[in-house]
Amino acid sequence: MAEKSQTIVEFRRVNFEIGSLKILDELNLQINKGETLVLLGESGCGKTTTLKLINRLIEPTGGEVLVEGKATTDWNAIKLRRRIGYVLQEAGLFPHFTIRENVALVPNLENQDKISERVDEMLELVGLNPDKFSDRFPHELSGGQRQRVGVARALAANPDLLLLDEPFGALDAITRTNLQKEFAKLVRELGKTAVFVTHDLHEAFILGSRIALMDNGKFALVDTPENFLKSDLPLVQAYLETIEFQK
Amino acid sequence: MSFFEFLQQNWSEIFALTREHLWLVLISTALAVLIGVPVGILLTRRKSLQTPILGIANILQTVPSLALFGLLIPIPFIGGIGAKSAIIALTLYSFLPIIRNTVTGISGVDAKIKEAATAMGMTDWQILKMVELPLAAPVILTGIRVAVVIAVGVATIAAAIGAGGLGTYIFRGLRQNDNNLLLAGALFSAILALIADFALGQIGKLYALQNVQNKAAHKRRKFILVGAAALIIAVLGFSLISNLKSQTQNSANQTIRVGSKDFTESVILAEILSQMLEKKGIQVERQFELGGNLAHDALLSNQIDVYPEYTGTAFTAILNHLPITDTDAVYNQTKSEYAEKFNLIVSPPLGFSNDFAILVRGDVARKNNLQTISDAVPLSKNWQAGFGQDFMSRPDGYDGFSKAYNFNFSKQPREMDLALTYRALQSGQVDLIAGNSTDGLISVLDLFQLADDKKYFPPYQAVFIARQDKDKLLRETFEQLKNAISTDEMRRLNYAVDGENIVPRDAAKNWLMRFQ
Repeated sequence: MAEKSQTIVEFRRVNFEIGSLKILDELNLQINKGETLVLLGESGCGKTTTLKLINRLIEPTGGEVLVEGKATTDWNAIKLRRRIGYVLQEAGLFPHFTIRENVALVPNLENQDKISERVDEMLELVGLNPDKFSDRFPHELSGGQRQRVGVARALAANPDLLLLDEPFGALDAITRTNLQKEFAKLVRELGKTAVFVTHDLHEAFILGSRIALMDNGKFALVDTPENFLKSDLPLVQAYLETIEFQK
Repeated sequence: MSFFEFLQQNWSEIFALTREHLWLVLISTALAVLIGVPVGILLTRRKSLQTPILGIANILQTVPSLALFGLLIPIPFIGGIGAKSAIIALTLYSFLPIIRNTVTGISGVDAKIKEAATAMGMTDWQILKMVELPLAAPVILTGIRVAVVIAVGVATIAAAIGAGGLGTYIFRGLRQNDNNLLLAGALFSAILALIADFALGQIGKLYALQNVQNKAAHKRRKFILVGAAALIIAVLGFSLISNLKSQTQNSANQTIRVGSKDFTESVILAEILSQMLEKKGIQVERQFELGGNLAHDALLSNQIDVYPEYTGTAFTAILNHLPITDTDAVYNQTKSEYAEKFNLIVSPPLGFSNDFAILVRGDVARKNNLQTISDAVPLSKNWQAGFGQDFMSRPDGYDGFSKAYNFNFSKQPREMDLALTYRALQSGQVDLIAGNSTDGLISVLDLFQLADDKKYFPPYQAVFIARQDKDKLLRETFEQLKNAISTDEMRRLNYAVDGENIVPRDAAKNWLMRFQ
């Protein structure tokens, strides 16, 4: 029972089809509170689709996705999304909003109190000086700084769950590595649950407490990084070779 | 008179026409934005509607403006003559750029940004208001800018249906062969278009992303623009209120709405009638310079009460009879059929006839010793004829005329605006035209009228046509005007306006002083 109450997201026989094209095929998965689950796979394997099912950007064509024990289709979509932080590639910041306005977005939509303090706190958390950055516009920041703002925006309404869609994909290697490490630390310290999409095994190892390897709309393997290394699945072997090569 | 003197003398009228023009454009653009932007937004939500609705807007814009104005005249409530129809036509023209740019602007917002907005838990309305519209604003404003510049141009044509504006000067200038009028009308509408283009360009810059991101410049520009907008609205609002006031005063008394066709003689006759009525203490509302058969339509749809007409025109073009040459028969039959069919009164004849006049250049007539139309037939093989639209289409016009005289032009006659045929004849671009026998330009431009030796053209006695419910107010004046104006006098009056640039109002006043 104790185990059950720990589950924050659950996929039950989830299918997703566009016309006759099967994108996701009978997915079953439990995501536990506090863990960082990495959805790993090639482009087109269905990992982003899986992510978007969680905050009901799309709805399953079969089965159901439960968030906090309730099917996403039973949630009010707006309420559900405001409870879940979302970070996407290139940050998806609003170019006509200042950094402060971007980070304050969800707290403002929710009419929360003390928004200004909250924004300062979030910016400091992601390593940006509020005095220096909060009145700037996104185009005045570097790619890495923008991505930090994206994380700050996702955290601003204090959600338990974060969804991240290849957030660091477009950054240069050094910036990416720094952000990966900082993000891993941040999530651990705040005790957030994170679902992280990537095609980079290295990133998966740095961030993931579990890795879900996806292939053709199915989970090929869902396990800890340690067990991932031990697996003799051909696909896992193929991935591991990429790391060998990098070394 | 130099253009500068013209401006000095007519400054207040130019200002009034410019104000009318601006008013037409502003109201129609405001309507087009209020309807077009929501329609554009709807199209981004219901993509299947995009093709049909943009298609309709596209077709609307390809309808020639004069035709669109004409089509609106007979439609009850929204149509009719005057500013209302013009505003509706201009609004229809403005839809395409506004709707299209709204769709383009919103569809062009980065998909990542829309995805982020949705994922943050923004409602569709919040996404529209906070994300899509601000980011699409520069594109939408460009659409509005295009619409306004088009509207300033098209609004000049609105003068043809009595909507006023600077087109009044352009039409009058063409008719009276007056370059000052033409230039003033064209110049001030061009200036208006440039100012509107510039002002909207500035507003566009206000919403351009890089300027939203520069707070100080944004504020400064906003301040200037809000000030300018407030000033324009204040001026227009003030003039609207004073207009409304004068209108309510009018309707309190007995009012006669006097119309006229869009040529000098018709305006002068309408002006003479108006001034005589005003002397009797009757309020007059002038709805002059209505093109084509608009005056008749306006009379039937109760938009005007009276306008000057010609028996031959009424007999053939409106009652659709074949032309006959007996003057009294045409008058009597027209009078009885108008009473029967339309419930309209035909006044006693004013005294002169304005027959079709077949004209050639004076030097050509003298050189070849031309006197009658028949004399010209042998020479006409290689001539280029030019006729007004009216002459080409009416039953007593070109078809019957060329058959009666056995004309055999090798080149198809050129169909153009009646006023322009005089200029074309004078400058040698055409060799034969059909003008009006009372036209002042005939002697000014040294043109020669060939005699109608086969008596082809029916008689065109000048009369007034009026609504029966105004009979009481008009009867006495009609009796006074019976046989009051001779052909010579009418030609002099026309010449005063077309040749000497006296305004119709003063020409009519001078004539009335002699008359009484």
